[in-house]
Amino acid sequence: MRIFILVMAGAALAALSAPWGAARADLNDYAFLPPVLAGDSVTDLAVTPDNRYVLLLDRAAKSLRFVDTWNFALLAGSTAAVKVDAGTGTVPLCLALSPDGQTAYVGLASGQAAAVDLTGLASLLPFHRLTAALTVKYSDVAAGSALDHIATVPNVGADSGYTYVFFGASAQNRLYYARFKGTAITGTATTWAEGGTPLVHTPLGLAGGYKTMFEVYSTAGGVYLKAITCNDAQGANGVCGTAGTTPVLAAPGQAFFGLAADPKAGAFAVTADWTEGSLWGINTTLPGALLFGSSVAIASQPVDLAVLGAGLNQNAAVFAAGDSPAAGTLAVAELTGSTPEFVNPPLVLDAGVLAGLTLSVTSVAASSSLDRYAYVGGNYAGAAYVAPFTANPLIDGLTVIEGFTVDLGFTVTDGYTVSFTVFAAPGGSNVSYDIYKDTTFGAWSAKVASAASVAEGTTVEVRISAALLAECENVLTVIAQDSSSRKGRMAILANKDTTPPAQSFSLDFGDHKLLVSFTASGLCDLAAYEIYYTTDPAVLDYDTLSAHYTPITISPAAGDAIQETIKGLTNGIKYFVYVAAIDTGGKASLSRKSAMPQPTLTLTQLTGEKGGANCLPSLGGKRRGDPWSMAWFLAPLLAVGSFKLLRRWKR
Amino acid sequence: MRRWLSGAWLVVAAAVLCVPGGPAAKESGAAPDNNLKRRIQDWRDRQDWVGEGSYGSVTLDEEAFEQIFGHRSYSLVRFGWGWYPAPNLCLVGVAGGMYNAGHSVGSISGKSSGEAVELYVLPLQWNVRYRFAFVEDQFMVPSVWAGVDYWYFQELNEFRDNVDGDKSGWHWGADVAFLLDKLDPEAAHHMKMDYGIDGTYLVAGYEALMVGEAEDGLKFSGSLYSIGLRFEVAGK
Repeated sequence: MRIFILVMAGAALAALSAPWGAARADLNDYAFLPPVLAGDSVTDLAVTPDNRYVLLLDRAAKSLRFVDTWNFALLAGSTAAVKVDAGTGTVPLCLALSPDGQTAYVGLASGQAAAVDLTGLASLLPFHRLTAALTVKYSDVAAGSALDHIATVPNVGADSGYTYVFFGASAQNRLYYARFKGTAITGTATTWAEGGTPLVHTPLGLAGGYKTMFEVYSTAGGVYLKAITCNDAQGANGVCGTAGTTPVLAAPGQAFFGLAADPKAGAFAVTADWTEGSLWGINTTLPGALLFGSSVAIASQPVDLAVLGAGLNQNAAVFAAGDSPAAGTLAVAELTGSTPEFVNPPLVLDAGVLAGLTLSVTSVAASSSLDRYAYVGGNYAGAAYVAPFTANPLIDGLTVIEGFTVDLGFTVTDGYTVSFTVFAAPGGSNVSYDIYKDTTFGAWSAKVASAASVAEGTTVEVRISAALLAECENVLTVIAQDSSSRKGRMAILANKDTTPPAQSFSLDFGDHKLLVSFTASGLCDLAAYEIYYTTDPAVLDYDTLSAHYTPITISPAAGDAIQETIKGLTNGIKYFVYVAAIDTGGKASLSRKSAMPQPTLTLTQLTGEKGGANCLPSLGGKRRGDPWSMAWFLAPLLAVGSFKLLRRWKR
Repeated sequence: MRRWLSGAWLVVAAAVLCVPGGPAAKESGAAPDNNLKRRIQDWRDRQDWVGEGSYGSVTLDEEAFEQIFGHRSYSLVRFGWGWYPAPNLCLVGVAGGMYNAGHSVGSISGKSSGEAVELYVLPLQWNVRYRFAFVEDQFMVPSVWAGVDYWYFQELNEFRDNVDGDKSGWHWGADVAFLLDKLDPEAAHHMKMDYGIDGTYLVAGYEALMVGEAEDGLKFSGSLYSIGLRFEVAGK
């Protein structure tokens, strides 16, 4: 049994009801889940708004990869690694997602922005491979500027589908923004200007909050924090303006770095003092007068920040990944109130030694308050890992096997046994679970099994009737909920392989031939169809046929109309034709029909018609094609017509 | 030789029908060209015309059709154009199209085989039609007609050579036309102003076909029930 790694520190917080239902989580409830192997290296992380995917930006490989948090595995498929490379000098530096999660934006060292269309990910079930490549579109933002900071924000008014993407170029001391519709830029990128001239400043961190973009930056006059909102109604491509600016009273030696905010909440943001190793809370509710709250020391120099609103009961959880001066750490601090204030000593975890891996921590990202997962990205020995960090229950050792044993010792094969062990944090030791089949992420419908309550740490075995599963792959999702209403998840594939149903077909005869026709079934594991024929009526099984006869083999796509002609047969003899449906597991079903090839007669043959056009009619038993017969027939008609014409003419 | 002579005869007849102003123009002497054009114009303006389109169901007597296609009734779409050389007497030309798909039959079992057979038929008809219209804007107008047929057919076979040919014959028929202008005078006014159509009729008819009876082989004899629209254009 794998061990649920609980790393606890700090004092227990008072249990307060959270705004997101009854779920509660204290600092000491959080723990790392087993890390997920996620490619070669990771330099930045982002979580989709639906909480399903963790995006990994790999600067060295210039690629974007995806961890599916439905089953906590790296997305597979030849197209699952999206290349973000527009040519020389296009090293990807930073990553952000549109508010709707449909597009990922990447800032490049060449001054370009890459926009990746993520819509193909939504309908993908876990364990399924991404077959169609996600499209990438490049747009010019500021030629020659290395875009090393990025944040997105929607229109300040009603959602319009537009995303304003901000890019910070710290080396060029500029801030740029552009409006996107999906992957397409609308208009051109704009250099941030104040008083009609570009603002010369060094971006230190950008964060997209609730309809407000925050920037912490330094100028010759000091360090400042700026709030920016964007409005579709102003200008053809929307206009962004300052909503507030406040100086940051940086003491000598302080070096602010990074910024984080909760896209779902607008009350606060967090920045960090890299030199001092501290986190700073910022009240963002007062436009024009952003107020700093308290700070808290985290005893490490942070390299990335993330915020999980209401992640700690009703308070926000602030995650800071640190990798200096020693091994990687993850600091978790609790931020409360509108001031805002850090309460309770922060939790500092040694993420650098995780499940035997000495991770060099590079990044951290958080899901929404409903999902309550944070993710720490790090590298070790040429591989990248993503470690989920959560207070939610862990579903460990999830397996599914065909068959189950009933009370009297019989083994029933027409079903499946799902087994797993649920570990819960100390606050929620009683666990209930539900199992769903091929459901929608987050919706969790189509339940196939459930249990009211089991003790934490218990290994459970659940019997599922085969009738509840479809042929081939079934994604079974286990949702475990502890007594504090925190939900953990894990998924597994259950493969159902039964003998394919017999294929119905039509058999028609022709002259020295038989014609077989049918529509290929949509069987998910269909390998091929085999068509056999014989005059021996005693052959009834597939094994005999396949051993003694050579089939016509067809491997069609589902729904294909199959028409095969068996030629060279002897007329007047009865033939037996078999269609065998073979699945990928080698199981075969057989259907048989008989028919007799024979000469056939067409319409013209049945009527003795020889064909040939004569162009002139024949009548009254006259020889076909006799022109005088036609003239005779038409004569009265022409005579009447001529007579009438002549009479009218004379009038 | 005889076929050539017959063709020449038809050309002469057509010339007589279509260029009636020719001899008269020669008689006038003074301004033959202008006079000819005026006479042609006057003549054309005095003519009554009719155009029509119909959908019909033709039931063929030939049993072989049922063996190949599984039934004997087929859809037939036709379009016609006619001219009134005299009041109520109309000369009409009609062209239509028909398609069917089936299978050849086994010579031993007599059952339908898997070998596809398709039949395209292009019927051409020429009628003399008399309508019983004696009052202006008569609501119900019966008509009777008789004429000759020329049916071109093509049989497409999946596994053997195609066969095409023609059949000739004659037909008679009757129909009843209902003047729709009575039901919607405003639409009738628009038809007159916009298209010059003086009367629009809904027509239901019956026709007896005797096609190919005088020859060996395929026969298209049978009965035809049709429904369609007829548009009358009156001369000055």
